Order: sequence, then C-alpha cells, then structure tokens
Amino acid sequence: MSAGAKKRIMKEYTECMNDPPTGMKINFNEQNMTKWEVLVDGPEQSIYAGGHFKLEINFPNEYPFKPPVVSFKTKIYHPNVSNDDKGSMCLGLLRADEWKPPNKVVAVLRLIQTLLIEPNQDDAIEPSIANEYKENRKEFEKNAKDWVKRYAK
Amino acid sequence: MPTTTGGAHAEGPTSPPRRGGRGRGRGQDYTNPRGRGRGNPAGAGRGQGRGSREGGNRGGGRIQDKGKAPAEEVEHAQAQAMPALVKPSPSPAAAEASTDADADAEESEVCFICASPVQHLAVAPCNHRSCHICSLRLRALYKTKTCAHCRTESDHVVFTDSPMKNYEEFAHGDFYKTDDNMGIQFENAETFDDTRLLLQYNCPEHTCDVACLGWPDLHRHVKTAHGKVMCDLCTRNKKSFTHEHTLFTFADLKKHQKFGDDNPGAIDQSGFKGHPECGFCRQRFYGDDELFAHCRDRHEKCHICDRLNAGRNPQYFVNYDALEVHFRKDHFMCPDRECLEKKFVVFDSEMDLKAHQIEVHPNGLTKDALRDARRVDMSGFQLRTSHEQDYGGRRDGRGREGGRGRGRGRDPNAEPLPASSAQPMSRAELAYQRQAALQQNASSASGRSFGGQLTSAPTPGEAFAARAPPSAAEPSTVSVSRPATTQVDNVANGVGQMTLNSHPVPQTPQDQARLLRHNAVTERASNMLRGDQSKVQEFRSQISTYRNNRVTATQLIEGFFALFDANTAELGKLVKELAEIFENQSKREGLLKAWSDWKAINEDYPSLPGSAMGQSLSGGPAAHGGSRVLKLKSSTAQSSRSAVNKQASWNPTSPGGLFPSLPTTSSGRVGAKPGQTPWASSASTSSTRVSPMPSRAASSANLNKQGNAELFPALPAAAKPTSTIFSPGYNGMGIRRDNSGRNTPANAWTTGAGSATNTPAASEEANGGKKKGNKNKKQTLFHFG
Repeated sequence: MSAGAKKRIMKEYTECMNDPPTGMKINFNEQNMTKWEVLVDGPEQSIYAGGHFKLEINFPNEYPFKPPVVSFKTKIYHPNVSNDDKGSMCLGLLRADEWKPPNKVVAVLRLIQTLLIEPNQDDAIEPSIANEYKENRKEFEKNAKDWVKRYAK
Repeated sequence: MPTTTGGAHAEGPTSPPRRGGRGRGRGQDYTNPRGRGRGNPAGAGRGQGRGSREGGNRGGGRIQDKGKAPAEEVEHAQAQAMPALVKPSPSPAAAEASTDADADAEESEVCFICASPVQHLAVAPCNHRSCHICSLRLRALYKTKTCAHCRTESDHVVFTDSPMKNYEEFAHGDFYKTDDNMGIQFENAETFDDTRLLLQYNCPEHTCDVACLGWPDLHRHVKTAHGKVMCDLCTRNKKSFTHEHTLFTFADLKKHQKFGDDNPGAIDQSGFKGHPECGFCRQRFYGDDELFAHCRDRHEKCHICDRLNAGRNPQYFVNYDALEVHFRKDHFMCPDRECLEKKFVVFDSEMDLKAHQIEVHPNGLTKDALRDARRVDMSGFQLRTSHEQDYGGRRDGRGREGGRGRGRGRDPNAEPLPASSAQPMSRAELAYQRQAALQQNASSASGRSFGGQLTSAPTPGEAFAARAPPSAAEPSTVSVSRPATTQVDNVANGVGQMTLNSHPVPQTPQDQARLLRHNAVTERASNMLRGDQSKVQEFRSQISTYRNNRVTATQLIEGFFALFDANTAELGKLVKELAEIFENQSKREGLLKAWSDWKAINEDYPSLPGSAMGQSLSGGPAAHGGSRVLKLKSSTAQSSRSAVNKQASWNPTSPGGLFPSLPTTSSGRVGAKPGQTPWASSASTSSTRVSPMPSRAASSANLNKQGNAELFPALPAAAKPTSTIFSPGYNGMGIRRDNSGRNTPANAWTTGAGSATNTPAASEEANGGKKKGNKNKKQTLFHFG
C-alpha cells in the first residue's frame, strides 16, 4: 500500500472521528488500517431498527483509485447484501467503474444507511429477496425482522 | 483519537489550514524552488500523523530500513511539528493572493485524493482540481482521462502553479510545453520538470537517484547496484510510479509473492496477502482479477455446477478433458459421438438428457430404446447425482452410439471435425466452430437450428433454452456441415490476399481457423490504414521481410509505427493477432517479445516528449536532478520517513548550491549502504572508493547531465520510437549506465569533465552495442568480483 493511500485513510479516519456519522461506530485498528470494522445501527425508520450490524470495510492497495470493499459480517436479509458467509455488497458508488477517488468512506457508510431504509431493487445481489421485496413486502419485512432478531441483536 | 506526541492532530479539525502552517515551517526557504518539493512535507506529515499513534512502531520501515533508530525519527517529526504549531496559519483567503504567493497557497492546500500537500495543481476543463501527481497517476498509469471529481472526459488538463486560474483562462501561448500523449499542458518549466522526473524509471532505492532506460534496465540496475530484485508482477500491474515499487531480496520476494508482505501494526503495513497462484499452472498472478481472467481463458468451468450454486465458489478444471471426466461423473453427458466432439453437451438431469436424445438423435435409437428413453424413471427422480442414473444414462447411450452414426447417412466429406477425439480442438478452433454455427443460424432460412445452437452455446442459459423446440432435430447435421463450405470460400478469398499465406485451400478446421485469423489481421490492418492500398501492400511486404528473416522483430515493430498512424492499443491488437498466425514458434515469440519490450519502454510508462530538451535547456534544474528525484521519491513513496530527506531540507546550502542532498545525508544516515556513501562532501574523488576507474565518476556526471538528452532515448519519447539509437542503448549501454549510475553523488560538480568524457562515450557508442555490451560485462565482473 502506497504512502498516499495510507495518508488518505488516516485523513478519512480523522475526519470520521471529528465528525462521527450518526448511528455508527468505527473501530479502527492501527494494527491493520486497511480493514475497518464498523458497527451500524439499523436506522429507526427502517425494518432493521434495533439491530446492530457489523460491517467490514477493506481498502484495496490502490485506494483511493479503487473503491473500498464493503461486506456485512452480520447476516442481514437485504436484497443488496449477498446471503452467504461473505455478506458482500456491490452497488452504486462501490462499483469499480463508478467509484471516484474523491469519494469518502463516510459517503459509503451513509449510502449503506439509506440502503437499510430503502433497498435498491434494481441493484440487487440476491434476486429472490429483491423479488420478495417487490412482490410481497409483508413477507419480506417479516423475514427481515426475523433475521434481525436472530442475528443482529 | 489517541493522544501523545503528534499534537497537530488534536487540533486538526478546527484549523484546516494547519497543514499549511506545518508545510511552511519546514519549507524554510521560499526562494528555493526545490524547497517546495513534497518530500519534506510528506516526511513531516508522517511524523505528525502516524507518530502520534504508532511512534513505537516507526522502526519497521522498509525492509532494508529495519531497526533504524525509530526514536530519532520521532524526534525529527516533533521538531518539525513544533515550528508548525507556532507559526500563524495562513487564512484560506491568502490563497487568493496573486500568483506571487503561489508557494504559500500551494503548500497550504492538501490534495483531496492523496491527502498530501499539493505541489502543483492539475486543472481540468471542468475546473476541478487535484494535485499534479494524482492527475498524472490517473492519466499515465490508470490511463483514464476522466476528471476524478465529475468523470468528465478531457483531452487535456493544465498543470499549473496558480491556485485560482480557471481552465479557460489559460491561453494557448501560456504553456511551456504540451504533451498530447497524456494530454497535459504544462504552464511552466518547473511543472514540466517535476512531472518528467516522476515518469522516469527511477530506482526505488530511496538513496539512489539513478533513472534507468526502461524496465529491463531498471531490473538490471537494482540487481547489480543494490543486490535486490523487484516483483515482476507488481512492476507489470501495480499502478505506481517506478520509484514507489519495493525492492526485495530474493528471499523476501518469495515471501512477498507467496504470503504478501503485510506487517500488521507497523508503519509499512500493506494489507497485501500475496499474489494468488493458479493451482494448475503454478503461475502467480497479480491479483484475484488477473487470476480469474486466466482461469476463465485457460481453464474450464462446469456451467451446470455454476448454475446450481449461483456462481459462488467456482470450481475450475484444468482443461476440457478434466471437465469431461467431471461431466461424466456428476452430470448427464450425451454420449453421442458428435455431441462429445461438440463438447458441453451435458445436462443436469437424466430427463433433460433423454429429451435431448429423443430430439437430436432419434435416428440412432431402436424403437425399444426410444420408448425407454421416453420413460421417466421416477424412482431415481430426486437423486440427481446417484450412480445408478449416471451409469444408466451412459449404458443407454453407448448402446446407441454405433447405430446412430450409420443411421444419419451424412456426407463424410462434409464432416467438419476431425473424427478422432484424441486430438481435442484448441480454444480458437472451438470458437471458430461456434462462430460458424452461429453465422449459419443467422443466415439460414430455416431459422435457428437446434444442433448448431447447442454447439455454439456453452452457457447454460442458451443451451437449455435450445432444448425447447422439439421439431428442430433434423437441421442439426446441416447446420454443422454447411458453414464449413461457405466459410471456406470466404476465408479462401482472404488467403489470396495475404502475402503471408501460401497454404492450399484448407481442409481441416485448424486451417479454417487460421485463415480466419489471417483475414482478421488483413482486415484490421487495412482498417487502420483506412483502406490505403499502397500502405496495405507495404504492411504485407514488411511482414514478408520479417518472415524471411531480413529484419528483426524490433525493426518490424518500428516499421509498423512508421506505417500506422494509430494508437498503441490498436497496434497492439494487430501485433498480437499477427503473432498468432506465425506458425514458426520463434517468429511468434520474437514478435511478441519485441512488442512487449517496446511497450514496456514506451507505453506502460509514458514518456514526455521533449523532456530531454527541458533537461538541457533549462540548465539550472537539470543540475539538481539528483536531489529532486530523491525528494520526489520521498513525496510519494514510503521511503519518505527516512532521515535522508529531513536532513536534506535542513541543510541550508542544498537549496541554492550545487550539492544534491546526497552528500549531506550520508552523515545523518545510520545504516547507509557502503557503496552509496560519499564520505566527504567535497570529494568527487571519494567515489573512487566505489568505482575503481576514476573516469567513471566523470562519465557518470556526463550521463547525469546530458544523459537524459542523449542516452535515455526512452524518455524523450521522440514521438516515434523509430530511432535506432534506442536499440543499442537498450542492449548494451544499460549495463554501463548502471555502474556509472551508482556514482552519481559525484555528478553535480564536474561540469567540465562531462564534456571531456563525452567523446569517448560517443565513440564507444559508435562502435556498436554488442561489443560494448561484452566489454561492460567484463567491467561489471571486475567491479563486483
């Protein structure tokens, strides 16, 4: 990892510390600054309210020229998060071709919060969940809440 | 926020311009153009930023730096941080001051991308700004011309020192130089020089200011001069400037490739976990993406398994044979000979296989077998992979196989495939088959034919969709045999046109595939030449001369550049396609090698046209090249925390004087490399300690001052690389330069000597590269032995 990347990560972390985004807690490990652990609370107005989701943000070597990789470590029933042990998400500004170097991690985290409130159906990584979200909202909400209870308490 | 030493961070948020304050505190001498170099800011930034958190770990610098008095560095960091805090921070408005205040304004700004102090600004037509290093990185290394902020594509950006000037305010005459290759307009000589320095093949060793000719030269240099190696995968793929790469010992390189060189908790932690290896080929790739591309291209994946587990955990097979074994074992493969040859005719259930057999091979079935086939074995319905089913299916098929072949009564001449399955088709041939079938489908009046679809569709979706129309059984044979003839015609026409080609009318699919490739090459070439027949003719004759060994591959490539007015990407495709059709292995590899060599030197690392001119014209900066390179290195590379740079900036003479920073650093450095240390700053003779031949020192000076103009043709880029000076320099001179390069500390004060040695060097050059190469090798031996 180049010095520039580290400097940039440090700067972003400092900014996060000075102006902590609401509803999340960033665990910064100086032993490995390329991997952030973020604890995101399910937003109040969302079906994930009450849940706490552990996220992992991995900064590639070429950061900020390449996007960070975000994954959910806590299982979550969500169309945009893969339903496996990886919990990977790939959407919007996290895509390699849409990522812009000036983008900040905070923006990514905010995007994730809005996604918890309103999933993005068109960018779904789990088609079945997206389908359910579209066609059977009740069932989707039930499942999602169920998972929050089971995994995210 | 952890507390302790740094201090600057604690107050960071509330006083954004703090960096400016710090930067100035360190810069000290504004009149010194080099004082603005980012090297020192970077060093100090680290001291403040990380020192606060990781002071204890600072020792873990680069590998070769390990154990270098961390405490001392922390002290430096503090010492430099202090004045920064006392100094009044400039208000942001100060940036608006006229261009005279450039130095101030720049230093008070931090690039929003790399978080380093801005040295020069890059302004895009959308008037978004970044530091010139980030902009250059994007344009030169990532090869993207889009604005980092808004993604607007722009042909040119301006590298400037004025913080407020908008893009449209620059008049054309304002520019000192323009580089159209990368699309950069330089406002003044200094921005140009700084940019040029970044693009040199600088040695990554942070005390070494040697700039090499190209990758091969640099590899040689680090090996001979520093006894280190660079990671080949990183140098090829990593988007960093040469001096940002890491030098490894052989053992470290192994570790780097296998496990990565992450060093958790240390200042140099990289998070890098090693280059992944292809388990089949034992070959390593830069990253997962590259490995994936390799597996996709070279190995096989089971489309059925892929579909079943939704693309997760993809499993690869070394080749189709291995995949076929898997098909037989775990899926339901159509055992029909033709289907076996077509490949990928496999189903995930016995039912699908039976349906396929009824539809496609009804003639081969006896009535009983047909009836059996229509019967669904409900007993094993759920057990997809049970062995009974598997064997059942196979036995079934084997019984039918012989009969089918006879029953079809196909014209043996129309058989498009060699019958023997012992000789599997190459991917290219396979692709050709698919393409042929597809074309047939598209043109044939009978609509999409079933058999053709199956062949051409390796993807599950298509293959299974194709199963649907039950009436399409018959055309399958036609679809395969007919394209063979039509294609041959097309291709044969192409053959006539290619001077390259002297083959008779093709018989085998291999031939057809080859002819298709020939056609593609001619077509691409004539497209690139915009149909200019005389040029196409010239292109052909050039290839023939290469084929007849009358020119080397390098000359051929150069000839292409003279001939084609196309960009390198286009030409690269052409060269690759061209290489494919050479059957002579050595010819093919020779051509590819020549191409990659050319690319390594000219394209991967774009050069600045006229940089040589800049060097020799603006005498002042040129003489400082050495120290500037070092500073520049420290500004972007990890080495910035070395004591060298700080020492250099403290030295009041270094700004204006002729001394590059090296002489002063030697005293400050703890673990200086013996071969690198000029003990007395005044002693150019001291370098005799390292170089047994005094003339060497002089020639090194020559090289450093004028070398960029004359001996480093790769950098000047001279528009087209057709100049032949490039080849001998590339082969022979490299070694010579390596040796001399190590003596560069002596460079700055031998102005006269430079011209003196000029003549021998030139005459040597005239003697031709080969002889010289040998001679130099001897010197090398002597030198190190």
